[in-house]
Amino acid sequence: METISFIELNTTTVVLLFVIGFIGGMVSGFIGSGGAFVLTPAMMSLGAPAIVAVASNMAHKFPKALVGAIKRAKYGQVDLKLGIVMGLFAEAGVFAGKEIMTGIRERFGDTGTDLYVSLIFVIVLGIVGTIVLRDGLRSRHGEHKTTAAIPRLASWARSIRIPGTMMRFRSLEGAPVSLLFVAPLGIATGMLAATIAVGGFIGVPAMMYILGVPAMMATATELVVAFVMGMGGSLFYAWEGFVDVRLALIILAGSLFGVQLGAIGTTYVREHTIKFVMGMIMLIVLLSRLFKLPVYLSELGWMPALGATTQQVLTTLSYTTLALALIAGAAAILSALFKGMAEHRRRTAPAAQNLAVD
Amino acid sequence: MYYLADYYLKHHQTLTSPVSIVPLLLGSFSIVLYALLFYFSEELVQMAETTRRGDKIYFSVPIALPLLFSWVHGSFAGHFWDLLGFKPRRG
Repeated sequence: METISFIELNTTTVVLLFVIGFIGGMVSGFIGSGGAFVLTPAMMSLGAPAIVAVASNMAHKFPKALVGAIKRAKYGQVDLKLGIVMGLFAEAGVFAGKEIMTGIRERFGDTGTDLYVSLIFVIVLGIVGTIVLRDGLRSRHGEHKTTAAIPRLASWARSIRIPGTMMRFRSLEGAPVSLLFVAPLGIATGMLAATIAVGGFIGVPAMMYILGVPAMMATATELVVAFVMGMGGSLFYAWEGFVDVRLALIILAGSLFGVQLGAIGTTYVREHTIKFVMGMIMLIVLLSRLFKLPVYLSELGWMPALGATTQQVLTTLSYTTLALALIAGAAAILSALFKGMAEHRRRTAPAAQNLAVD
Repeated sequence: MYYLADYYLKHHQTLTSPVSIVPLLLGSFSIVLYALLFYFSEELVQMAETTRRGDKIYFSVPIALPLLFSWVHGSFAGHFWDLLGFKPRRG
Protein backbone atom coordinates (compact mmCIF):
# COMPACT_ATOMS: atom_id res chain seq x y z
CA MET A 1 0.00 0.00 0.00
CA GLU A 2 1.21 3.50 -0.90
CA THR A 3 2.57 5.46 2.10
CA ILE A 4 0.79 8.76 2.60
CA SER A 5 2.66 11.63 4.25
CA PHE A 6 1.43 15.16 4.91
CA ILE A 7 3.64 18.12 3.94
CA GLU A 8 5.58 20.31 6.37
CA LEU A 9 4.08 23.78 6.83
CA ASN A 10 6.27 26.86 6.46
CA THR A 11 5.62 30.57 5.91
CA THR A 12 5.81 30.34 2.10
CA THR A 13 3.37 27.43 1.98
CA VAL A 14 0.92 29.17 4.29
CA VAL A 15 1.02 32.51 2.40
CA LEU A 16 0.74 30.78 -0.98
CA LEU A 17 -2.25 28.67 0.08
CA PHE A 18 -3.95 31.73 1.62
CA VAL A 19 -3.54 33.83 -1.56
CA ILE A 20 -4.66 31.04 -3.92
CA GLY A 21 -7.58 30.39 -1.57
CA PHE A 22 -8.58 34.06 -1.67
CA ILE A 23 -8.53 34.34 -5.45
CA GLY A 24 -10.19 30.95 -5.92
CA GLY A 25 -12.85 31.89 -3.37
CA MET A 26 -13.60 35.15 -5.17
CA VAL A 27 -14.12 33.33 -8.47
CA SER A 28 -16.35 30.74 -6.74
CA GLY A 29 -18.44 33.42 -5.02
CA PHE A 30 -18.99 35.15 -8.35
CA ILE A 31 -19.59 32.31 -10.82
CA GLY A 32 -20.67 29.57 -8.36
CA SER A 33 -17.59 27.41 -8.90
CA GLY A 34 -14.29 27.46 -10.69
CA GLY A 35 -11.84 28.42 -7.96
CA ALA A 36 -11.02 24.88 -6.95
CA PHE A 37 -9.49 23.63 -10.18
CA VAL A 38 -6.18 25.30 -9.43
CA LEU A 39 -5.94 24.17 -5.80
CA THR A 40 -5.34 20.48 -6.40
CA PRO A 41 -2.35 21.07 -8.74
CA ALA A 42 -1.12 23.84 -6.40
CA MET A 43 -1.11 21.52 -3.38
CA MET A 44 0.52 18.77 -5.42
CA SER A 45 3.27 21.13 -6.53
CA LEU A 46 3.89 21.93 -2.83
CA GLY A 47 4.51 18.21 -2.27
CA ALA A 48 1.11 16.84 -1.19
CA PRO A 49 0.24 13.39 -2.61
CA ALA A 50 -2.56 13.54 -5.23
CA ILE A 51 -5.17 11.83 -3.05
CA VAL A 52 -4.43 14.19 -0.12
CA ALA A 53 -4.64 17.23 -2.44
CA VAL A 54 -8.01 16.12 -3.82
CA ALA A 55 -9.36 15.26 -0.34
CA SER A 56 -8.16 18.49 1.31
CA ASN A 57 -9.52 20.54 -1.59
CA MET A 58 -12.92 18.95 -1.13
CA ALA A 59 -12.84 19.46 2.66
CA HIS A 60 -12.25 23.21 2.20
CA LYS A 61 -14.84 23.48 -0.57
CA PHE A 62 -18.00 22.37 1.18
CA PRO A 63 -17.93 24.86 4.11
CA LYS A 64 -16.88 27.63 1.70
CA ALA A 65 -19.82 26.74 -0.55
CA LEU A 66 -22.08 26.83 2.53
CA VAL A 67 -20.92 30.33 3.48
CA GLY A 68 -21.27 31.52 -0.14
CA ALA A 69 -24.73 29.97 -0.43
CA ILE A 70 -25.93 31.61 2.81
CA LYS A 71 -24.58 34.96 1.65
CA ARG A 72 -26.26 34.74 -1.73
CA ALA A 73 -29.48 33.36 -0.20
CA LYS A 74 -29.66 36.66 1.69
CA TYR A 75 -29.71 38.40 -1.70
CA GLY A 76 -32.57 36.10 -2.76
CA GLN A 77 -30.49 34.36 -5.43
CA VAL A 78 -30.61 30.72 -4.19
CA ASP A 79 -33.07 28.00 -5.19
CA LEU A 80 -32.53 25.69 -2.21
CA LYS A 81 -34.81 22.90 -3.44
CA LEU A 82 -33.15 22.68 -6.85
CA GLY A 83 -29.70 22.82 -5.19
CA ILE A 84 -30.46 19.94 -2.82
CA VAL A 85 -32.11 17.78 -5.52
CA MET A 86 -29.24 18.32 -7.95
CA GLY A 87 -26.69 17.88 -5.16
CA LEU A 88 -28.06 14.44 -4.24
CA PHE A 89 -27.88 13.27 -7.86
CA ALA A 90 -24.42 14.84 -8.11
CA GLU A 91 -23.34 12.67 -5.18
CA ALA A 92 -24.19 9.58 -7.28
CA GLY A 93 -22.27 11.15 -10.17
CA VAL A 94 -19.18 11.60 -7.96
CA PHE A 95 -19.08 7.88 -7.21
CA ALA A 96 -19.64 6.98 -10.88
CA GLY A 97 -16.84 9.39 -11.86
CA LYS A 98 -14.49 7.83 -9.31
CA GLU A 99 -15.21 4.35 -10.69
CA ILE A 100 -14.33 5.48 -14.23
CA MET A 101 -11.10 7.08 -12.98
CA THR A 102 -10.14 3.92 -11.06
CA GLY A 103 -10.81 1.77 -14.14
CA ILE A 104 -8.65 3.98 -16.36
CA ARG A 105 -5.84 4.05 -13.78
CA GLU A 106 -5.83 0.23 -13.56
CA ARG A 107 -5.63 -0.10 -17.35
CA PHE A 108 -3.39 2.83 -18.37
CA GLY A 109 -1.74 4.02 -15.13
CA ASP A 110 -1.53 7.61 -13.82
CA THR A 111 -0.65 9.07 -17.24
CA GLY A 112 -3.86 7.51 -18.58
CA THR A 113 -5.98 9.28 -15.95
CA ASP A 114 -4.09 12.54 -16.57
CA LEU A 115 -4.84 12.26 -20.29
CA TYR A 116 -8.50 11.42 -19.58
CA VAL A 117 -8.84 14.41 -17.21
CA SER A 118 -7.23 16.76 -19.74
CA LEU A 119 -9.42 15.49 -22.59
CA ILE A 120 -12.55 16.00 -20.50
CA PHE A 121 -11.33 19.53 -19.68
CA VAL A 122 -10.76 20.34 -23.35
CA ILE A 123 -14.05 18.85 -24.64
CA VAL A 124 -16.35 20.15 -21.88
CA LEU A 125 -14.79 23.58 -21.56
CA GLY A 126 -14.46 23.95 -25.32
CA ILE A 127 -18.19 23.37 -25.90
CA VAL A 128 -19.63 24.96 -22.76
CA GLY A 129 -17.13 27.84 -22.59
CA THR A 130 -17.85 28.87 -26.17
CA ILE A 131 -21.63 28.75 -25.64
CA VAL A 132 -21.46 30.76 -22.40
CA LEU A 133 -19.03 33.36 -23.75
CA ARG A 134 -21.02 33.80 -26.99
CA ASP A 135 -24.23 34.15 -25.01
CA GLY A 136 -22.59 36.67 -22.67
CA LEU A 137 -21.37 38.78 -25.59
CA ARG A 138 -24.75 38.58 -27.36
CA SER A 139 -26.67 39.59 -24.24
CA ARG A 140 -24.26 42.49 -23.78
CA HIS A 141 -25.09 43.88 -27.21
CA GLY A 142 -28.84 43.29 -27.16
CA GLU A 143 -29.48 42.96 -23.47
CA HIS A 144 -33.04 44.23 -23.32
CA LYS A 145 -34.17 41.70 -25.90
CA THR A 146 -32.51 38.65 -24.41
CA THR A 147 -32.39 38.82 -20.62
CA ALA A 148 -35.99 37.78 -20.09
CA ALA A 149 -36.04 35.13 -22.83
CA ILE A 150 -36.00 31.45 -21.85
CA PRO A 151 -33.48 29.45 -23.94
CA ARG A 152 -35.11 27.32 -26.65
CA LEU A 153 -33.84 24.06 -25.11
CA ALA A 154 -35.24 25.04 -21.72
CA SER A 155 -38.65 25.86 -23.23
CA TRP A 156 -38.70 22.41 -24.80
CA ALA A 157 -37.59 20.71 -21.55
CA ARG A 158 -40.31 22.53 -19.64
CA SER A 159 -42.96 21.53 -22.18
CA ILE A 160 -42.39 17.79 -21.64
CA ARG A 161 -44.82 16.29 -19.12
CA ILE A 162 -43.90 12.90 -17.62
CA PRO A 163 -46.48 11.96 -14.96
CA GLY A 164 -45.09 11.20 -11.52
CA THR A 165 -41.75 12.93 -12.20
CA MET A 166 -42.77 16.60 -12.36
CA MET A 167 -41.31 19.05 -9.80
CA ARG A 168 -41.69 22.80 -9.37
CA PHE A 169 -38.74 25.07 -8.61
CA ARG A 170 -38.64 28.68 -7.49
CA SER A 171 -35.92 29.60 -9.98
CA LEU A 172 -38.16 28.42 -12.83
CA GLU A 173 -40.90 30.77 -11.61
CA GLY A 174 -42.90 27.75 -10.46
CA ALA A 175 -42.90 26.06 -13.87
CA PRO A 176 -42.91 22.26 -13.52
CA VAL A 177 -40.01 20.30 -14.98
CA SER A 178 -39.44 16.55 -15.03
CA LEU A 179 -36.99 15.08 -12.54
CA LEU A 180 -35.74 13.01 -15.46
CA PHE A 181 -34.17 16.21 -16.84
CA VAL A 182 -32.75 17.34 -13.50
CA ALA A 183 -31.21 13.95 -12.57
CA PRO A 184 -28.79 13.64 -15.54
CA LEU A 185 -27.65 17.23 -14.99
CA GLY A 186 -26.86 16.44 -11.34
CA ILE A 187 -25.10 13.20 -12.23
CA ALA A 188 -23.04 14.91 -14.95
CA THR A 189 -22.10 17.67 -12.47
CA GLY A 190 -20.91 15.06 -9.95
CA MET A 191 -18.99 13.09 -12.56
CA LEU A 192 -17.21 16.24 -13.68
CA ALA A 193 -16.48 17.17 -10.07
CA ALA A 194 -14.90 13.75 -9.50
CA THR A 195 -12.83 14.18 -12.66
CA ILE A 196 -11.70 17.82 -12.75
CA ALA A 197 -12.82 19.06 -9.29
CA VAL A 198 -15.16 21.68 -10.77
CA GLY A 199 -18.63 20.26 -11.33
CA GLY A 200 -20.05 23.75 -11.75
CA PHE A 201 -18.56 24.01 -15.23
CA ILE A 202 -21.41 21.69 -16.27
CA GLY A 203 -23.90 22.36 -13.45
CA VAL A 204 -24.23 26.13 -13.96
CA PRO A 205 -24.58 26.20 -17.78
CA ALA A 206 -26.91 23.16 -17.60
CA MET A 207 -29.20 24.98 -15.16
CA MET A 208 -29.10 28.08 -17.39
CA TYR A 209 -29.61 26.56 -20.82
CA ILE A 210 -31.46 23.25 -20.16
CA LEU A 211 -33.70 24.28 -17.27
CA GLY A 212 -33.86 28.02 -17.97
CA VAL A 213 -32.60 29.21 -14.55
CA PRO A 214 -31.33 32.84 -14.70
CA ALA A 215 -27.49 33.04 -14.58
CA MET A 216 -27.56 34.90 -11.26
CA MET A 217 -29.62 32.13 -9.60
CA ALA A 218 -27.79 29.29 -11.35
CA THR A 219 -24.40 30.41 -10.01
CA ALA A 220 -25.86 30.84 -6.51
CA THR A 221 -27.70 27.50 -6.55
CA GLU A 222 -24.52 25.75 -7.69
CA LEU A 223 -23.05 26.66 -4.29
CA VAL A 224 -25.77 24.51 -2.64
CA VAL A 225 -24.99 21.66 -5.07
CA ALA A 226 -21.28 22.02 -4.24
CA PHE A 227 -22.05 21.92 -0.50
CA VAL A 228 -24.20 18.76 -0.68
CA MET A 229 -21.77 17.03 -3.04
CA GLY A 230 -18.65 18.20 -1.18
CA MET A 231 -19.97 17.14 2.23
CA GLY A 232 -20.53 13.56 1.02
CA GLY A 233 -17.14 13.38 -0.71
CA SER A 234 -15.34 14.85 2.30
CA LEU A 235 -16.93 12.31 4.65
CA PHE A 236 -15.68 9.54 2.38
CA TYR A 237 -12.12 10.91 2.28
CA ALA A 238 -12.11 11.75 6.01
CA TRP A 239 -13.12 8.16 6.82
CA GLU A 240 -10.05 6.99 4.89
CA GLY A 241 -7.82 9.53 6.68
CA PHE A 242 -6.76 11.36 3.51
CA VAL A 243 -7.81 14.90 4.51
CA ASP A 244 -4.96 17.18 5.62
CA VAL A 245 -7.19 19.49 7.63
CA ARG A 246 -4.37 22.02 8.11
CA LEU A 247 -4.19 22.64 4.36
CA ALA A 248 -7.98 22.78 4.10
CA LEU A 249 -8.22 25.36 6.90
CA ILE A 250 -5.45 27.63 5.57
CA ILE A 251 -7.08 27.70 2.12
CA LEU A 252 -10.40 28.31 3.85
CA ALA A 253 -8.94 31.36 5.64
CA GLY A 254 -8.30 33.04 2.28
CA SER A 255 -11.27 31.69 0.39
CA LEU A 256 -13.83 32.84 2.97
CA PHE A 257 -12.68 36.42 2.37
CA GLY A 258 -12.80 35.82 -1.38
CA VAL A 259 -16.15 34.06 -1.62
CA GLN A 260 -17.91 36.91 0.18
CA LEU A 261 -16.34 39.57 -1.99
CA GLY A 262 -17.31 37.59 -5.10
CA ALA A 263 -20.89 37.25 -3.83
CA ILE A 264 -21.08 41.02 -3.16
CA GLY A 265 -19.78 41.55 -6.72
CA THR A 266 -22.79 39.72 -8.19
CA THR A 267 -25.13 42.37 -6.80
CA TYR A 268 -23.42 45.11 -8.87
CA VAL A 269 -23.24 43.39 -12.25
CA ARG A 270 -25.66 42.32 -14.94
CA GLU A 271 -26.21 38.74 -16.12
CA HIS A 272 -23.98 39.13 -19.17
CA THR A 273 -20.95 40.04 -17.00
CA ILE A 274 -21.26 36.78 -15.06
CA LYS A 275 -21.55 34.81 -18.31
CA PHE A 276 -18.63 36.69 -19.83
CA VAL A 277 -16.33 36.06 -16.84
CA MET A 278 -17.38 32.40 -16.65
CA GLY A 279 -16.79 31.81 -20.37
CA MET A 280 -13.45 33.58 -20.28
CA ILE A 281 -12.17 31.50 -17.33
CA MET A 282 -13.36 28.27 -18.96
CA LEU A 283 -11.56 28.98 -22.22
CA ILE A 284 -8.29 29.95 -20.52
CA VAL A 285 -8.39 26.76 -18.41
CA LEU A 286 -9.02 24.80 -21.62
CA LEU A 287 -5.89 26.29 -23.12
CA SER A 288 -3.90 25.24 -20.06
CA ARG A 289 -4.93 21.59 -20.50
CA LEU A 290 -4.34 21.75 -24.24
CA PHE A 291 -0.64 22.41 -23.58
CA LYS A 292 -0.40 19.19 -21.54
CA LEU A 293 -2.10 16.84 -24.04
CA PRO A 294 1.03 16.19 -26.19
CA VAL A 295 3.03 15.41 -23.02
CA TYR A 296 0.60 12.67 -21.92
CA LEU A 297 0.17 11.28 -25.46
CA SER A 298 3.92 11.02 -25.83
CA GLU A 299 4.32 9.34 -22.40
CA LEU A 300 1.72 6.73 -23.38
CA GLY A 301 3.56 6.13 -26.66
CA TRP A 302 0.55 7.25 -28.72
CA MET A 303 2.60 9.89 -30.55
CA PRO A 304 6.34 10.42 -31.23
CA ALA A 305 8.32 11.02 -28.02
CA LEU A 306 8.91 14.63 -27.00
CA GLY A 307 12.27 15.90 -25.79
CA ALA A 308 12.72 16.67 -22.07
CA THR A 309 13.00 20.41 -22.76
CA THR A 310 9.80 20.46 -24.85
CA GLN A 311 7.97 18.60 -22.08
CA GLN A 312 9.26 21.05 -19.47
CA VAL A 313 8.24 24.07 -21.59
CA LEU A 314 4.73 22.67 -22.18
CA THR A 315 4.28 21.85 -18.48
CA THR A 316 5.38 25.35 -17.43
CA LEU A 317 3.08 26.90 -20.03
CA SER A 318 0.22 24.81 -18.69
CA TYR A 319 0.70 25.92 -15.07
CA THR A 320 1.23 29.55 -16.07
CA THR A 321 -1.99 29.56 -18.10
CA LEU A 322 -3.87 28.01 -15.18
CA ALA A 323 -2.64 30.79 -12.91
CA LEU A 324 -3.57 33.31 -15.59
CA ALA A 325 -7.15 31.97 -15.66
CA LEU A 326 -7.52 32.69 -11.95
CA ILE A 327 -5.80 36.08 -12.06
CA ALA A 328 -7.80 37.18 -15.13
CA GLY A 329 -11.02 36.02 -13.44
CA ALA A 330 -10.18 37.87 -10.23
CA ALA A 331 -9.24 41.04 -12.13
CA ALA A 332 -12.51 40.94 -14.13
CA ILE A 333 -14.54 40.45 -10.94
CA LEU A 334 -12.78 43.25 -9.04
CA SER A 335 -13.08 45.60 -12.00
CA ALA A 336 -16.83 44.83 -12.33
CA LEU A 337 -17.27 45.30 -8.58
CA PHE A 338 -15.47 48.67 -8.42
CA LYS A 339 -17.21 49.95 -11.55
CA GLY A 340 -20.59 48.83 -10.23
CA MET A 341 -20.00 50.43 -6.83
CA ALA A 342 -18.83 53.72 -8.38
CA GLU A 343 -21.88 53.80 -10.68
CA HIS A 344 -24.18 53.01 -7.78
CA ARG A 345 -22.63 55.80 -5.70
CA ARG A 346 -23.03 58.27 -8.57
CA ARG A 347 -26.70 57.35 -8.93
CA THR A 348 -27.49 57.52 -5.23
CA ALA A 349 -25.35 60.60 -4.40
CA PRO A 350 -27.84 63.23 -5.73
CA ALA A 351 -30.64 61.70 -3.66
CA ALA A 352 -28.47 61.76 -0.56
CA GLN A 353 -27.47 65.38 -1.23
CA ASN A 354 -31.11 66.40 -1.59
CA LEU A 355 -31.89 64.77 1.71
CA ALA A 356 -28.99 66.62 3.35
CA VAL A 357 -30.24 69.96 1.95
CA ASP A 358 -33.76 69.28 3.17
CA MET B 1 -9.67 54.60 3.11
CA TYR B 2 -12.69 56.50 1.83
CA TYR B 3 -14.95 53.59 2.70
CA LEU B 4 -13.41 53.20 6.12
CA ALA B 5 -13.83 56.91 6.83
CA ASP B 6 -17.35 56.85 5.44
CA TYR B 7 -18.21 53.94 7.68
CA TYR B 8 -16.70 55.69 10.69
CA LEU B 9 -18.60 58.89 10.05
CA LYS B 10 -21.86 56.99 9.78
CA HIS B 11 -21.27 54.84 12.82
CA HIS B 12 -19.02 56.85 15.15
CA GLN B 13 -21.86 57.48 17.56
CA THR B 14 -22.45 53.77 18.01
CA LEU B 15 -18.89 52.51 18.19
CA THR B 16 -19.48 51.04 21.60
CA SER B 17 -22.75 49.40 20.57
CA PRO B 18 -22.95 45.60 20.14
CA VAL B 19 -22.91 46.06 16.33
CA SER B 20 -19.29 47.23 16.33
CA ILE B 21 -18.20 44.74 18.99
CA VAL B 22 -19.37 41.71 17.01
CA PRO B 23 -16.71 41.89 14.25
CA LEU B 24 -14.03 42.50 16.87
CA LEU B 25 -15.10 39.42 18.85
CA LEU B 26 -15.39 37.28 15.72
CA GLY B 27 -11.98 38.46 14.51
CA SER B 28 -10.37 37.65 17.85
CA PHE B 29 -12.06 34.25 17.97
CA SER B 30 -10.87 33.56 14.44
CA ILE B 31 -7.27 34.46 15.34
CA VAL B 32 -7.44 32.20 18.39
CA LEU B 33 -8.75 29.32 16.28
CA TYR B 34 -5.94 29.70 13.74
CA ALA B 35 -3.33 30.01 16.51
CA LEU B 36 -4.66 26.74 17.96
CA LEU B 37 -4.50 25.15 14.50
CA PHE B 38 -0.79 25.88 14.20
CA TYR B 39 -0.15 24.93 17.85
CA PHE B 40 -1.83 21.53 17.45
CA SER B 41 -0.60 21.00 13.88
CA GLU B 42 1.34 17.82 14.74
CA GLU B 43 -1.57 16.32 16.65
CA LEU B 44 -3.84 16.82 13.63
CA VAL B 45 -1.36 14.98 11.41
CA GLN B 46 -1.24 12.12 13.92
CA MET B 47 -5.05 11.95 14.07
CA ALA B 48 -5.16 11.43 10.28
CA GLU B 49 -2.50 8.70 10.61
CA THR B 50 -4.58 7.01 13.30
CA THR B 51 -7.63 7.10 11.00
CA ARG B 52 -5.61 5.59 8.13
CA ARG B 53 -4.46 2.78 10.41
CA GLY B 54 -8.12 1.83 10.93
CA ASP B 55 -8.97 3.52 14.24
CA LYS B 56 -11.86 5.80 13.21
CA ILE B 57 -12.27 7.68 16.51
CA TYR B 58 -11.01 10.99 15.01
CA PHE B 59 -12.42 10.64 11.48
CA SER B 60 -14.95 13.45 11.92
CA VAL B 61 -12.32 16.03 12.97
CA PRO B 62 -11.57 17.13 9.34
CA ILE B 63 -15.31 17.70 8.83
CA ALA B 64 -16.11 19.41 12.13
CA LEU B 65 -13.14 21.82 12.09
CA PRO B 66 -13.82 23.34 8.64
CA LEU B 67 -17.47 23.82 9.64
CA LEU B 68 -16.49 25.58 12.89
CA PHE B 69 -13.82 27.71 11.21
CA SER B 70 -16.09 28.66 8.32
CA TRP B 71 -18.83 29.73 10.74
CA VAL B 72 -16.53 31.94 12.82
CA HIS B 73 -14.10 33.13 10.17
CA GLY B 74 -16.82 33.39 7.50
CA SER B 75 -18.92 35.66 9.73
CA PHE B 76 -15.86 37.76 10.48
CA ALA B 77 -14.97 38.02 6.77
CA GLY B 78 -18.50 39.29 6.06
CA HIS B 79 -18.17 42.04 8.69
CA PHE B 80 -14.65 42.79 7.45
CA TRP B 81 -15.81 43.68 3.92
CA ASP B 82 -18.76 45.56 5.33
CA LEU B 83 -16.38 47.62 7.47
CA LEU B 84 -14.28 48.43 4.39
CA GLY B 85 -17.39 49.64 2.57
CA PHE B 86 -17.96 46.61 0.34
CA LYS B 87 -21.69 46.18 0.79
CA PRO B 88 -24.18 44.51 -1.54
CA ARG B 89 -26.25 46.86 -3.68
CA ARG B 90 -29.72 47.25 -2.28
CA GLY B 91 -32.76 47.50 -4.55
